[in-house]
Amino acid sequence: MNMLIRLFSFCLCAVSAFAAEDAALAKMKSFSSFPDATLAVLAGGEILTQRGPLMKFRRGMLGESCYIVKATPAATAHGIQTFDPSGEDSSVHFHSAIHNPVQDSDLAKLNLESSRYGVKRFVTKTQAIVPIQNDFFISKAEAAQIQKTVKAAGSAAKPADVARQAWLEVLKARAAEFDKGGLSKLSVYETGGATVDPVEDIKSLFGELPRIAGEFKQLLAETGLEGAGTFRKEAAGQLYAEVINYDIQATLELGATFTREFPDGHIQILDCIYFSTGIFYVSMGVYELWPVEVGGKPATLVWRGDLLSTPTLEITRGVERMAYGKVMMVEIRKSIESFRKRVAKAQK
Amino acid sequence: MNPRLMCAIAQGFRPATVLAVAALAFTLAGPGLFAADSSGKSKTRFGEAPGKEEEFAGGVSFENKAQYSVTSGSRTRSGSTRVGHVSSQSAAAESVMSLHLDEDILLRAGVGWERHSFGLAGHVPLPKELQSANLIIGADVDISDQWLMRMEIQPGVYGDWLNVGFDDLNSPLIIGFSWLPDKDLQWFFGIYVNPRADVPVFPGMGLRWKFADRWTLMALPPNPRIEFDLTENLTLFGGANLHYGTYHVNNVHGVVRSHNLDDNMVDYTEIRGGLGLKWKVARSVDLQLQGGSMLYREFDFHRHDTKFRGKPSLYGEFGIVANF
Repeated sequence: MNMLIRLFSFCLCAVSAFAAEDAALAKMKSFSSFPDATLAVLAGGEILTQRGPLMKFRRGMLGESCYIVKATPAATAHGIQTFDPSGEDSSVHFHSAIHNPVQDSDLAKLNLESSRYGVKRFVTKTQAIVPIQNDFFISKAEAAQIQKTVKAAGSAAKPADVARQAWLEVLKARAAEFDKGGLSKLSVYETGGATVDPVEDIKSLFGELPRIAGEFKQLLAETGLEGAGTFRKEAAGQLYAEVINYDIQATLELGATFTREFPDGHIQILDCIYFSTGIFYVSMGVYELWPVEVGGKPATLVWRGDLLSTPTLEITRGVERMAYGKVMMVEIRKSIESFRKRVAKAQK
Repeated sequence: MNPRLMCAIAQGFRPATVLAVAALAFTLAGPGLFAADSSGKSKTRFGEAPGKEEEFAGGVSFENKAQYSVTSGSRTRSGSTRVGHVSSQSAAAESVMSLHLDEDILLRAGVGWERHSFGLAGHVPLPKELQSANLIIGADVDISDQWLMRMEIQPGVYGDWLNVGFDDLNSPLIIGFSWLPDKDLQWFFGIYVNPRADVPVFPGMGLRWKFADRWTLMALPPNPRIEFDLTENLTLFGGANLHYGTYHVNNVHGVVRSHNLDDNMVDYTEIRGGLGLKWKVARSVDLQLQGGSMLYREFDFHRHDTKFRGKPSLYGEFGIVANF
């Protein structure tokens, strides 16, 4: 009799697990571009990728991917939230987790002294900043503030130290702004004689993707996108600052990850770089993680969306845009492979 | 976090070169890095699509380019016979409209024009002018995860334009493939089919490799070059230019009639090597200035096995590219 009960319980559990996995897959298919995805294929290590639709929002682009990570959703989420790329990516000049509100110690190691051209150029341009016309994605008021700091430092001071001081003030102000209202209101970029509102860009990106926006509606509301009142500070779990050495000029960035956990064990994450001094206006990674089993072991079904708003795309048309999307997907695939290896290593 | 990846792509990959190169066509580099927004779009409420007045990003786009160049007199021979110095002025213009038929197919349609005018000193049995005016009809197709394909025909009139007839008609075909394994490395394979040329099928391949922060190798026909980014808007380059075309010359094509060569096809080839500067003057407009040596020039009247070859001389070139 005991044996029978055990067998029955096992069957019940197995059926429940299969049902949950089917539900997860069905849910993923309901809003994604992977209607033919199967757990069997994904469990074999396949990474499905899909370039997003051509948007009306000219500087926007989406890439979708779907894959399985052989770790629990909690471990997978932790890997996404706490990723420090400085060990893996040589272009990362500085990366640090920061508190909310930001503390002086968070940015103590920020050093703009470098032999790399991009960082040197960032410092040089900081020294020569003019509020009316500058290449940085900042407001005129921020540019004026930087100019004031540079002038006050005088010519005897080390340019890298002066630039550090000037940008620390901007970073702290931007982080404080985020602390107050999340993504409800961010200072605009006034560059090249035009004004760009990063919040508007985030809204425009999701506005083009109603099924994805619908799926992440609650999480997006908690970021403050539906108004300052909806911003849930606790949802902004991990904040970070970084300096990336791009080819021509480094950029200074602030980002945040927002997380929402559901009673059934699935997790949603938004990783958003909401402030960047160049190259792009907004960059986001949106994730949904569902618990599944692979070979009898816990695993995670991941849907990932990469959204980008960059001025480069605005003037990239036709086949160039097509090629741009393809290269984006190739690079996303590589980053997923690298992420899975990292998580596997952490599991050992 | 992963958004960084997107940023690296946003700035690190200049896709303008991708298929233009695969098509073995004249190209200048792509969009700039720090161009600012000027769309002035209206406010968007969360969850709403942008207004209908905003154009579909992939809808219609235009590529326009023009160039003008001069070469100094080049000592020219046919076999051991000297035929004097030949200088040249070349001009070319092209405008192509691209239209998305769907997410994966882009229709291309446009017009092209090219003219080489030769300064002939003395009695030289060469054409004063070689000129083409053609349509450009083709498509770019997304064929798999890492591959794009371009097919293009260029039907038109290719000749000396002294007496345009059926023999002046030609329709070169280009089939090109781009393999995009990486944001820093792309490979290109192509076939150029020219029914009236001495060698009617001409394969080509090349690569674009961004091997350092400010350096990019563009080993791509017809303009292989190495580029160095001086600033975000200014690029220094050095490399070669290949000008190639097949033209029909009629029975009064030269300064002096040469019955052997009258009413004939000539393959014109010119190879140049030099240095240049590319300046991004506006968001979608590049100017290019270059100069150096015209290393090799050949008029090949292949049906009569008669060739005229020019010795090195100097050249200067000015070009403009505008994409909308």
